[in-house]
Amino acid sequence: MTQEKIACAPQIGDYQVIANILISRCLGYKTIKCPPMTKRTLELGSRHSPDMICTPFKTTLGNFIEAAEQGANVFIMPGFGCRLGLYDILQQKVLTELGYDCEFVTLFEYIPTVRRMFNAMQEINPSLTQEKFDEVFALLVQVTLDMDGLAFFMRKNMAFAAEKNASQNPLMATYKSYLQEIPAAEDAEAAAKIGEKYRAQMESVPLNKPAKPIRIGIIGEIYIVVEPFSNCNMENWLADNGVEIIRHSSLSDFATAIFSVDEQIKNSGGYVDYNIGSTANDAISRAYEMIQEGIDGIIHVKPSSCSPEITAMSILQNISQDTGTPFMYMTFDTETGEAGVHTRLEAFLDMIKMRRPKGDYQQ
Amino acid sequence: MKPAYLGIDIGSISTKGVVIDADNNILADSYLWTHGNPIAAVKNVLNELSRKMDASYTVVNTGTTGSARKLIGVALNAKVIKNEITAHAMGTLAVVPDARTILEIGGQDSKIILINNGVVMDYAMNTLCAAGTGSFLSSQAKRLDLNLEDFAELALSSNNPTKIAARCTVFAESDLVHKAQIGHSKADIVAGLCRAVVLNYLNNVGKGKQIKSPVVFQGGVSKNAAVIREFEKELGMPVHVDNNGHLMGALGVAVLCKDEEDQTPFNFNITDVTFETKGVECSHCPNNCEVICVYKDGILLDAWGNKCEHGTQK
Repeated sequence: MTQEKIACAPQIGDYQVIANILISRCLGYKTIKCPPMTKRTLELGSRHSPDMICTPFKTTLGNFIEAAEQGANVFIMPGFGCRLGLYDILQQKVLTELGYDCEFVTLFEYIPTVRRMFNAMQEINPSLTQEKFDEVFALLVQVTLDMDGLAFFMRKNMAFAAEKNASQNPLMATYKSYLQEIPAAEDAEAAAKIGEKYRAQMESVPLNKPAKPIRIGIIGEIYIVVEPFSNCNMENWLADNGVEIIRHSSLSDFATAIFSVDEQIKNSGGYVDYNIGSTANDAISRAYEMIQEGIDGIIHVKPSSCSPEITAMSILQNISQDTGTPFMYMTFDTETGEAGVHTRLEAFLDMIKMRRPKGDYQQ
Repeated sequence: MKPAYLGIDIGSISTKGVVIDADNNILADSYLWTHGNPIAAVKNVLNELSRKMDASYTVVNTGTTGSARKLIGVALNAKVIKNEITAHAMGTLAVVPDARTILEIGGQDSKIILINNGVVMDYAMNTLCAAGTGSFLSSQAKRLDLNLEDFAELALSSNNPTKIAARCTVFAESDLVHKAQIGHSKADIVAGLCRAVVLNYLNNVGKGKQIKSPVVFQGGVSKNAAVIREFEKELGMPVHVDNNGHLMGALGVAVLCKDEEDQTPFNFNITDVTFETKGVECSHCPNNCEVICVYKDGILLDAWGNKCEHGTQK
């Protein structure tokens, strides 16, 4: 008797939804979500990782160990990028040594193209037709775009929801309901309808938004940016303190960013003329774009020891010095103390408010 | 009755308090060790302030800063609870209005604040590691069997600081042991340590920042004359250290209190009230959030520390 395949993707913001649609529809595996990340996830992941490896390796390994405890035996990893491209190989070794009999689905082999994704799926499930795959892929694209669009709108407006008493921000609540409903969407067309419904719902939430609110941009390494547990819930803190958050980094942005480095170099105001690697060029060009649009300040985040983003930092420092836009750099590892992060965020926000004409961000 | 404003800065090592009048003049000040008991330390500071204060003034508002700002802020019903970076900038500007750069090295953190026309333009704070802060100097002083006062004096007597790896406290320590064993004099090693602190600070915290004069140096380490000398050598500009430098955080929140609309008179009798805190571990999920409950005379005042709705106080 063969064991039932139960697949699990790591917690990366809310993107497990996307991975689960792909795996369940192309491979027919049962999918589960790994248990929500907690201190235990970090402890398990760190204990079984090399100490100097990048943070996402540790946290995603922790996800997998906790999912394996719940019966998961198939794990999903992208398989390209910086060191990320080699996570699957090492993590499979670690999990096997820990006694978990498991396999990995590597979505792309080194180069992220739709063709390679299809090949990877077909290798596991030979009965998968091109037609079926195309249908699933169209659905994935639709869901990713809708989800990221809703979340972008939410971040921009979360701080200004008129109804503050509810236990959950009404925009956040709408977004969460979307995530609940979307896995059942039959195809791209049905998904688009669900997306439109929630978009309308979100846009109808009453807002009290001042004309010129404080606007803070967030850029940096994509995993730490989109994974709230790993960045000490930075965005919620900013929204609670009345900030409009501009953050382009997302799965859909990432999927285009990795193919448009030349364009990013062109849009970086001459501050960088080569491909740094990972999404560092995207971070720089986004920062440059936000400054042109009059952003009040930018927060750059990265996991400890992330070399592409460390390179980006020195270029960002030049941009900051020339334009006078304040930048704050935050490095995250496996610490869970939020107090230090909040102290720095509060000071950064105070500084930005002092630079503005008194009280103009409230009118 | 003339109005006065109370500011308290509760740091990991020391607790500072000031009372100022409407023109930012210091009416009373106090500076005591925290000894790991912020509530007791604050009571002692308040007792000292109330003794020193002129009876013709009334405290009409209170602010707190420092790592125990929330705990003490709740206990004292403070109307301003501010992070130490903003507080230090405000306090310093009240004393040195034309300051452009504030260097601060404290017991376990260090920061740099850049100011232009009285407005904070940029700041940075050490992030992952506490290398090159006061605790590094005091642990090395202990290793060399020196108290901190003699440490600075001995360092000043040397004109030939030993080169000590500055990047990391652990490396610095093994480098120091090695240099001592091969025969460098104690004075040169101590001077080298002071220099290492300065280089570490400029390379990590001050990295990429343009340091402009007037430069003000604060925090516990600013009491060390040898570190001041190394800063001046390295920056090529004078570095000002105010006698009241340690009070700037407390002064800053007191200044911020003046602008706060919500004014709440302060009663020094609060030192007779018993405050109790209790750390409860929420066991709902593996996060095990530590929820802190603060009680005033046995009645729950406030609780915090939970990351989700399950952690609300029991």
